[in-house]
Amino acid sequence: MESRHGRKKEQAESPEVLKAKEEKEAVLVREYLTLKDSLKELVESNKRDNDALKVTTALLRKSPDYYTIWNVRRTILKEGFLDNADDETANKIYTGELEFVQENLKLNPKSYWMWNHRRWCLESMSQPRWDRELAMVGKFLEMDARNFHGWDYRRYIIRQLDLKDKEAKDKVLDRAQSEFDFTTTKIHQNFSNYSAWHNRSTLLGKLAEDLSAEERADIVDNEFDLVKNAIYTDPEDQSAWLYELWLIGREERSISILGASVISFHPLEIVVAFDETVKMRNPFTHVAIPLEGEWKATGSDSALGSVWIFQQAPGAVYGPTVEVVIFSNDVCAVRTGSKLPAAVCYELETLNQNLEDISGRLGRLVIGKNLMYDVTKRIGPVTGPDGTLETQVAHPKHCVTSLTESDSLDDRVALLEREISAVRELVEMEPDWPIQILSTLLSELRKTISIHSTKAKDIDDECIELQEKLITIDPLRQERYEDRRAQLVFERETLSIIQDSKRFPEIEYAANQPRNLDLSMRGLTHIPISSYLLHLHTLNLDSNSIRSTRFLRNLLN
Amino acid sequence: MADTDLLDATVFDAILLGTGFTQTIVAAALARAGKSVLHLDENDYYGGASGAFGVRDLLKWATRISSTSSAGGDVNADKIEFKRLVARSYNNLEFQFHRVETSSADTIIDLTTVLQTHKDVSTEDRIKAVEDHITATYTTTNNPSKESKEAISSLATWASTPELGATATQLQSVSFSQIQLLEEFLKNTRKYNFDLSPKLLYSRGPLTNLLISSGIGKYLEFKLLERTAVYEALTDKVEMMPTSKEDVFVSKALSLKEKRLLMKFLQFAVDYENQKEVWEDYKNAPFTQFVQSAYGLTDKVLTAVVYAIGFDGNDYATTTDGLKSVKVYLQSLGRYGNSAYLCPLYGVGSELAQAFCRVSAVYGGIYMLQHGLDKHNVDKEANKWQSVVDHTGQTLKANQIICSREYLSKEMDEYIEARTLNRNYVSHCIIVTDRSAFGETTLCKTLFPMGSLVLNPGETPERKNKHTVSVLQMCGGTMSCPNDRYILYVWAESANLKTDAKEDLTAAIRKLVHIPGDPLSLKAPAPAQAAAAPAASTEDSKPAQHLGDAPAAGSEDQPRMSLDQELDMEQVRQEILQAEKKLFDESENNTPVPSRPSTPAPSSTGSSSSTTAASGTPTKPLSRTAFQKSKSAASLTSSLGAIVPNALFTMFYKRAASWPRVPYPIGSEDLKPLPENLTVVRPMNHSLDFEAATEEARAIFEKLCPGEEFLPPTPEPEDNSGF
Repeated sequence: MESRHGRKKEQAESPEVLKAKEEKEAVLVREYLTLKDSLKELVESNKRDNDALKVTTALLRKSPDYYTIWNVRRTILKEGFLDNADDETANKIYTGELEFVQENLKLNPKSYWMWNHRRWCLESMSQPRWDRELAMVGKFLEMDARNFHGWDYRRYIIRQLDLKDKEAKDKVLDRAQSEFDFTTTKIHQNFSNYSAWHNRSTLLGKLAEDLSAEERADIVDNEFDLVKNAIYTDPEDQSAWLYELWLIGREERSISILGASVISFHPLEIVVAFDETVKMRNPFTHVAIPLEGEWKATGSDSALGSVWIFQQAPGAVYGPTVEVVIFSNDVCAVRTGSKLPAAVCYELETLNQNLEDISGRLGRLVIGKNLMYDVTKRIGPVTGPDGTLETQVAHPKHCVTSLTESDSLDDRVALLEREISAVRELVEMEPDWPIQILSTLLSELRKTISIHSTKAKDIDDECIELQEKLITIDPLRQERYEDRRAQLVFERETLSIIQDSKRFPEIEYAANQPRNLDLSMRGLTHIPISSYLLHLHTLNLDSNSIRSTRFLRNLLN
Repeated sequence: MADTDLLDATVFDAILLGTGFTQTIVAAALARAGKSVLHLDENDYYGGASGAFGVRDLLKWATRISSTSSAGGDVNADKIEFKRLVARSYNNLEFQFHRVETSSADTIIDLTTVLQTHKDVSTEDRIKAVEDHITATYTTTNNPSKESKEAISSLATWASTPELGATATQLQSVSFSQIQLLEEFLKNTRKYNFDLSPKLLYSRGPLTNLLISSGIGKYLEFKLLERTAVYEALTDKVEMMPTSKEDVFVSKALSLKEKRLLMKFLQFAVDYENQKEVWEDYKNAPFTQFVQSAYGLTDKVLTAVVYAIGFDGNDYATTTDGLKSVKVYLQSLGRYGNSAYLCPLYGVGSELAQAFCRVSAVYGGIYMLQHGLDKHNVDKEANKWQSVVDHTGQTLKANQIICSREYLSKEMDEYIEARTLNRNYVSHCIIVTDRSAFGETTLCKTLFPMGSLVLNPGETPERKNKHTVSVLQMCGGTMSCPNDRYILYVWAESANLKTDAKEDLTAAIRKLVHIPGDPLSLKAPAPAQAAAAPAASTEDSKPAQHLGDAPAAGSEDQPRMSLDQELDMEQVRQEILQAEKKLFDESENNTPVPSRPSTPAPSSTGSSSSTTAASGTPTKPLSRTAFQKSKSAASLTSSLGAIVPNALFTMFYKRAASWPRVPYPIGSEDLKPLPENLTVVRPMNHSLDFEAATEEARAIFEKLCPGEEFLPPTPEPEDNSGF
């Protein structure tokens, strides 16, 4: 099979040709079935001799993707030949196998099992010639520079070579450098090559390890330059965009705890609201001693949600104040890249039992005494009931790429603004292709800005517009863009509910919660963050196109 | 000789006279369609005006052209005067073996005295005297070899008979270095294949497609043209143009925005037929105007790129012409590699002509070269051509006669001559140099746009070139010269005989090579510098040139290829297999292993293709600073400096390509129209490609054999396509 990249599909063939083809295939099928029968015989007979090996050879020539045959072949080789062979004979056998694979690979360079067999041979050999393998795979990539099997194998060889040179860091670095140059060559020949860009990204990290910040910045600039040249040459090519996105990196999103409150005293019930759907492992509630009870998410799935409720075990005793401690490791985000940056501790009063608003359960919650500790300033680490320690506070890193991380928010903002303006320039010439990337870049920039700033509002407005544009450009993904748009609109309309917390970029409930919210005619497809709505008395969702009412359960619980 | 020239049969379906490129296609197509074909040529070589010669044959040809009078005599109206008409087609022929200008001693032998004293004797005696004079001085210090005797004899002949076309300086003196140079050329005569009308093929143009569909292409081998450069008058620089997506991507000459504009235009051009609304208004406007106003490609660089891609020989191309040519170019890109042009090996035109003749012969066509022809017999009443009489007196009859103009009778020639209102000539120059004019790029073309060159520097009023000057540099890899030599073909359209070929082309040549004795040409490198630096070294001073945007991995020569390499990855596989076997053998055994029966892979010369430097080449240990360096190379531009090459040999000539604007035959009052069964093939044009000639051949065939298929595939003797 040769490469099919960038080729037009052949035209339909005439009936005669098709018939002739069918007949030809029928012969092949018969041959194949015969061979298959002989394989069955072979396996049953437990033969481990040359004849048996020949059967597998014939079969594999016909059907290299039939992995069972490869397994049988290895068994035959091992038990019939290799186990009693001296080193020299073994090497001969392996070399023969390598040649056999090689021959077949040329006809079928994308067969997993052949590459796999090759690895087995090399790993079993006493002195595998990795350098030769590298030259070999180079040739394969010459044949088809986008064969990811080839790239994968290449990385595998490099790993093996590096392993040999564990002690010689210079050698390893030189090798990474030459591999990096290899990707450059391939990209120059044809930059529409996901594998080459990907390999480049993995190598860059390695090469940049010991470099100074300035040197890294140089490299990053150079990469941006390269990829932008590709994008401007062919903005339709996704591989370049993907690399650009990788270079931009993704800022870790902070999960925020909006607030915590006691909602019932007998039995004690505590509610904690997150700003996104999370899984909680084992938060604990205690005064001096752990308080028995159970945490459950509201909604249909008690293990997953943005609103969690603690219910005291019957008969458990609690004191005048209760501490709720949530460690960052105990909160798993559903969304990738989100993280609770630090442990949070609420001290809730349980003495004041005069709760006026507790009667109506729907959407009403009284914030108790909301004490948010800056855990970093706590005296000593918080110790969990099982003795676990929250020793480290995860600061959100402003990541430029996995290659360079910056602790400075300004660097991040500058980079994003530079890239956004470059994309905007391209949009003037190419109104369609760069919209998706522009939207992504703006969202990244948005993460660096306080929620109530005018800049944030402008970005939100633009992003909403971009989603609408994307729906017309790319109607196949309409629902996805509609959902994204709904999220953005929802966030814009609910700004009065939240405020920046002391620890940017986290947020919390605003001090004065609105009682009523009108979200009618907003084109919403869903309610993304139902925890925002906990305090509302009335919510108007008229004339939207909401597809699911699941969010209601959170509120009704 | 007379016996072998006699034919058993003397009646044919078609007789073709002259093995020029167009006729050979027609001959192949006719024979393939089952017609009986007789194909004659008075020359002793194939190709006619597209012929290719070694050194000796080129000099012989030049001598013959120069020494034949083109003046019409008082002969019978039916008489064929081939030699005279050929000589008439070539004007102001002039050639020179240059003196090597080095500081090292070069003995100069003065000839003025000996020529003066022998002024009035016979030519033979004068030549003899000059020859003796040179030999006396030269052979005291050198052992005369066969070639040196021949060289001295040739130089003596040229010096004694100025009408043979030797440049003036050669008439007064010769130097030792000239003799040695000529010796070396004569020794290597067979390594040269000089093209009289150099051309290239579009990888997906009509000719290449025909070569593939007919199966004729399998007789041929090709190399890819590497780059195209354009001369920019303002900066006085020859710049390599980014003429493919890959080039555009790595180009430093274009800004991001310009890259986008250019790519947008190219994307449109591939599909221009379906977007008529964009260019309809500009249909008959100059192409450049369309490019600038409709696509905003006003920048100098962008204009040059579009010119480099779309120039097909016509300086006044309309939008329709230009778009068509850009499209062929773009379709051709990537078929065989990162280039749109193929260059056949062993001389361009003659190889192609012979490939077609071979097919014609396989299907029964009879071929006779060096076959003299006497006259045409025409039935004047019916205005029908009847037969041609050859030098043995045989009368050869056919229903159709197809010939080039040199084979017309006096009367027929006069008919065409009378109809030719606009004269058209092509000025040619063949230069042999001692190194590439483009550094590591060895096979490339360069365009000097019209109006960019001053033809008469220092004079007023200034005269600028009215037509694009094209330059094609060939290297040893194309099998048209030895590996340490390069041929530069320089040519341009020329509207009249007022300027000679030398005047038309010298301004362009000066920008690329050092012409000994010409102070306006590029400066030659100092001898020491030239000696120290190998032919393809970099980073040397080259005052007037900046060949930016070189391809990253273009250090090696492009591999050779055959036409079926497009889809057939087997070739590559074979190559891999072989390379690997080699590797294997090297690493496993120290004893040499008998080479396997290798498949006739045309690419076997290059161990690996140029584009894969990374895997094969040993990686030198890179320091961390090297990383920084190579990183900057990643954004790509190693500016290639090249050492200025010396011109060793130059030959100028002007070839007539005039043709009546109005197609013949046309009713005429006072002149007898051409017989209706006579087809006259147009002279080779000046464009870079063969497409016009190919289309003409097809049209002729379709006229002669309406409804028949034009060169269907030739069946394989044994079908070995299946496994």
